[in-house]
Amino acid sequence: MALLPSRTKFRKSQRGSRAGNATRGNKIDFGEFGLQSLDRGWLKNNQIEACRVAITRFLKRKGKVFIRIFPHKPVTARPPETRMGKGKGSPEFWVAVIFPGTVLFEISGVNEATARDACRLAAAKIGIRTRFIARHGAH
Amino acid sequence: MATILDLSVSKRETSGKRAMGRLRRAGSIPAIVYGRTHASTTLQVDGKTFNRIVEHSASDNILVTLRIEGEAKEQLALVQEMQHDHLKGGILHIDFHAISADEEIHAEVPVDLVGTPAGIKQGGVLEYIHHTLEVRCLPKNLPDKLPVDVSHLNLNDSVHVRDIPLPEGVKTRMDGDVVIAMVAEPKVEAEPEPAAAAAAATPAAGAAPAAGAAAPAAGAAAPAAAAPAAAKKK
Repeated sequence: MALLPSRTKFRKSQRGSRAGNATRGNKIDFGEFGLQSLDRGWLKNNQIEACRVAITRFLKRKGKVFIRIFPHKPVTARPPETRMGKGKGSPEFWVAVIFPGTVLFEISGVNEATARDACRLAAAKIGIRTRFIARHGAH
Repeated sequence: MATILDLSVSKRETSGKRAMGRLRRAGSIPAIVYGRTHASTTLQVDGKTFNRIVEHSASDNILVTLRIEGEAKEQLALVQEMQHDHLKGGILHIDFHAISADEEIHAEVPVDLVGTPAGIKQGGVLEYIHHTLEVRCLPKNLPDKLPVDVSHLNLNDSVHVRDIPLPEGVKTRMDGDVVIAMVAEPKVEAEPEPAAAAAAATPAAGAAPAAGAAAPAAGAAAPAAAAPAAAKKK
């Protein structure tokens, strides 16, 4: 199922700023292990879904996955071979804005080696640098 | 029980972003002590010493006896909050809550699930609902963690707050019915069949606003391009 908001106040948004580091969503809150972003960027909804599928298939019905990001932001694009002007393009896809430090996914109910391997597979699906983190005292 | 460690700290006169940056680069951590038994005072702590204390502590509830430079009296304190740099991993600032040894304190103690539940062999997944338990006790009774045996849990069984054996002198304000952990059935994700997936994709492509909008635009461009060509012929 595609990740996208069920209802938005406005159809189109401006690109916005991606300055600074994550000041919220930057620590493990639900699981024991997590995947933290080291770069800033946009993650499309299909990239997030690809990561989720990679993790859940690797875990083989063991453990639980928490997706900590959501693609709230619509991105517009112009149709091919059209001239400039005539207004903003139509919404094409949805993205989550990622800052350095954002925790993308969390995993619980599995050991560290399994969680680390699952995060490695998920990290390969996205174009931003990430690292594996663990909750203080997790074993 | 949490051990009470000695920590020598010195008073800090400076404040502000740039001064704190210089302080951290010099190997110290800015801190503050406050509470009913001590007036608010800004401090600086040696980074290496404090990091060693944190590494060897079982939980975030750290009790220290502060020896503040220039003050004759020692002060018992609980580390109330630690601000971390979530990218570089260092400690940015420490809040010490000055407490009295004979007054009860409030703290969040981590729950440690011990053993492998029987329900895991039946395909279940052990899920934490709450990682910590809110407790109230005297500082000397503050536990590092609360171990709970979960090996008897079957599928769909849970551990409640009332099931957690609390050490003597420790009380919790959480309701006894609150679930701490459970062995849940895993959510099975139905794989979409290829035929069903193809059927679902076809109407979705037709309904896509971008695809629908592009077709008339392309159609409109063709007559527009043909018009100048016709004019040239004339």
